[in-house]
Amino acid sequence: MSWFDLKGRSLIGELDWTREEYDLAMKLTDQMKGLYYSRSPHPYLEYKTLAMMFFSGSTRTRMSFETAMTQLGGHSQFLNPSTMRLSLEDKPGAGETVKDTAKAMSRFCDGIGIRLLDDQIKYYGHGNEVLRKFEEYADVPIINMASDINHPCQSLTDIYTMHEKLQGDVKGKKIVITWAYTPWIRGRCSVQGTALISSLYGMDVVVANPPEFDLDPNVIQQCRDEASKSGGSFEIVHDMDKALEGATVVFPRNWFTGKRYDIGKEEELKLAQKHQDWRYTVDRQKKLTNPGHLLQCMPIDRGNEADPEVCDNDLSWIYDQAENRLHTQKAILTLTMGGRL
Amino acid sequence: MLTKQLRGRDFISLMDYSREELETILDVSLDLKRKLAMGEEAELLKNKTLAMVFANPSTRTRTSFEAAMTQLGGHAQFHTPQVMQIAHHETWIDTARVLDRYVEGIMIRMYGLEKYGMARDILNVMAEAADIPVFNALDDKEHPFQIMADIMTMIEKLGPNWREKKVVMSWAYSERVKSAGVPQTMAVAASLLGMNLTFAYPKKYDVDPEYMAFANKAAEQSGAKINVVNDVFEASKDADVIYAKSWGSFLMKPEEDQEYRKQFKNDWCISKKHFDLANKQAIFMHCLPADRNFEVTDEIIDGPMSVVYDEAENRLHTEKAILALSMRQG
Repeated sequence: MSWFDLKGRSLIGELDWTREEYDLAMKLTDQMKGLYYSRSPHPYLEYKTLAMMFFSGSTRTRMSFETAMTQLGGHSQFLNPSTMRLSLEDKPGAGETVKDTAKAMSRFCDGIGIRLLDDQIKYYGHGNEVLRKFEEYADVPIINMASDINHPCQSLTDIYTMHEKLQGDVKGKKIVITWAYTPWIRGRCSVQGTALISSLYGMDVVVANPPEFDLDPNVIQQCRDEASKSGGSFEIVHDMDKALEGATVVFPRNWFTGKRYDIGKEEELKLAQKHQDWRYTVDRQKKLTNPGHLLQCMPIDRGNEADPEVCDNDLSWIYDQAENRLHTQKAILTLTMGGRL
Repeated sequence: MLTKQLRGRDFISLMDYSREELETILDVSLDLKRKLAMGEEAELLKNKTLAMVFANPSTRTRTSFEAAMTQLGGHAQFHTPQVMQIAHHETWIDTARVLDRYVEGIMIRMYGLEKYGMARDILNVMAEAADIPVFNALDDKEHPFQIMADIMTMIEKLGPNWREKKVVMSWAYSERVKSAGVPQTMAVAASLLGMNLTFAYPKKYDVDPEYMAFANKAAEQSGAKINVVNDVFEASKDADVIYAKSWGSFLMKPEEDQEYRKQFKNDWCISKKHFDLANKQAIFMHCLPADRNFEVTDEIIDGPMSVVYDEAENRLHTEKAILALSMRQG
């Protein structure tokens, strides 16, 4: 097998794939986008099935994956695990084990997508553990459709969008991933994923957040390692305005503290409410010397995380970014469930 | 048999089928499996739709039926009665009559209603109301798709003399009281196909006598052997297949059953002890989901004798065969 053959490979954490493998996925994404806009049929996954297990709710992920499989000539099954026999509690009498579920599903499907985060897990890291367990037992690729730690399909979309918008020149460009206020208690997967992939591609990555909202220390370490390999930089700043100076791209997003699953949502909200001034406002955007384009995986809390004007003005990339989910995922599915000749 | 006689047929009870018809289904299943392995197209149900009505949860049935329709070039719709108008008191008859106008087949999973047999009654009512075929994906009486996959697996694993091999369908311990659909359907299939089937279950775990009566009668014609043994170790002796499955007693109320069964917890968890008595090449089967370490030990279900995932895969191939034979026209 050539080193870049992704057939049968899972994608759970951003670092499961190398920079070269993402480059290949982005090349195919370009082609997919061209085929899409030229109305050229591309049934690369005819008769194949992607099983999509949505433990947690979704809008973009569900629709983009389902459309992706339709356009590729295959089919996706929308599975709500509460209608299945599976139990995540691995003990006699609880329900079917992950092992048996993964093994049996592998006999019918050509890939399994899983979304598991937020209230459907018991502790931070639990979602990824379940995905890794599926990976261990399944005979088909496991695609992470958002977990508590990672969101690689979103991350690839983000780096792809930045390449598109910045004419392929992302290296050394400053991206600020900033904590922002909203009463929604939000997961960390998207921000951590974007931080990881931006570090992998040699960007100047700044994560800004109030001190108690530091991201997963493992992910921070991974970002530092990747940045030093790629010639980029990685920095954590606890002051939003200072962080934003010189930003080409800004990703304002709420995320919860490392104590979310110990202290509960109410206490989390109290912590967040202390920092209601952390928002990406028009004033903040206007003050910037570089453009400060809005990159956000959505859903975005308009008026909190970012001003509505910031979402709607010419500097906003969010809808093009959302569309790119479709194109990048078609590339990921084709490479992992299809493979080379 | 008439080549076309499976077209438009309901697949609710194996008792409605003949030996020859079951063998045709198995032949087609093996052929479709070969085709899939070779990457050959099998667009036998292009643009056709199967409505899947799930009143109860499912992993294998859902994913395999939906993948089956995709591979056959058609589409499967997933429905639950909670979101259908049935929740708003549309009758099952009207639902069947309306679905009949949109789709080419209806698959239903329904069990555990107030009384044994009620789900079967609903399936029969729907089958009568709809001209299109109705497929039973587990009701309170039978699980015919599972049993076809099981027999296919036995043909593959046991070789040309599969009919003579000793198949032990063993009751197994579980905390929950489960449907006897699997053993009941196995009795029908084994008796029609002339197999050598031994039921092993503790006293009082008899299945619906209607099924044993059918099996004993059909066995007279086919030469099948249908035995019942109440000692699991005695049954395991010289077995070629040990198939574990927990089921509820036909004679006891569930609450009573739950207490009564506790005494069988140790002996009726299929383990190495049972396989030591069986033939050397004996295989372990289970329809899944397995209640691990209640019905069977990890050592057995994860061991070399276990064929459970191949058995699960065969759900796909047998379902494709039955859907194609029944929903295809022309």
